[in-house]
Amino acid sequence: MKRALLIPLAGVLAAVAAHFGWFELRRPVSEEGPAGVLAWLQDDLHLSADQFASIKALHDRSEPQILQLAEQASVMRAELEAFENRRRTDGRVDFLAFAQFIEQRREFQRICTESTRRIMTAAASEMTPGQRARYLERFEPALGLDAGGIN
Amino acid sequence: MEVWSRIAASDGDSVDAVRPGFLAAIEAVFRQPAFALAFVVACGLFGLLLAEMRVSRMHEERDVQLVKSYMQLIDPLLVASDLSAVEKTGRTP
Repeated sequence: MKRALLIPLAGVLAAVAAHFGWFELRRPVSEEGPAGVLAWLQDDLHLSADQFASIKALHDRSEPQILQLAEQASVMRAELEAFENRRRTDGRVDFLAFAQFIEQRREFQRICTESTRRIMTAAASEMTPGQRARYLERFEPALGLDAGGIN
Repeated sequence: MEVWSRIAASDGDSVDAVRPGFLAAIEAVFRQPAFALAFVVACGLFGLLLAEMRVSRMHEERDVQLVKSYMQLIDPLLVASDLSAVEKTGRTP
């Protein structure tokens, strides 16, 4: 009778040990911040040390411009909120000013998309065709680019 | 009272009559070393399968999150959203 209990118990122990052992071994390690994201990119695309250094340098170089554009985007968002507040409080809209603003905003969004596309193109140019395909497969949907845009 | 105790005793007899046969059959099966070994190995493999499924799901979720994080690194419009979120909450995202 003891054996009839010991074997299922051993089975359960084997399942639990295998589960937690394998899980601990293969569990993804999450790293925070830009360094963690780039480290993941290196791991995911199997970038060599040289490729990684070039891509990291590219991102570091681009950072000031990105922050500048981001600040500009924040200003434009505030302007849009101001238009909305004026419409709510006064009930009036300066259609000419608003149309100009929308046009500026559209142009600004185009500049931002262009900036992102440029960084992605530069990063992709450091990669092998296989890495580039995987990189674009991952990030193109997020940017909404057509495949011919970067290839 | 005596009637109830007799009924209980007869119920117990019928259960006892089935139980030893069933348990004996199980015991006989687990007594075979080949079956016992196969059972333990199958349990281990099942544990591995569940762990792999769990890890795979975690990898997928993490990849989606990291794609978003990468885009937040290079897309000024997303950086601006991040900045405004920080300004509103006073915390880093």
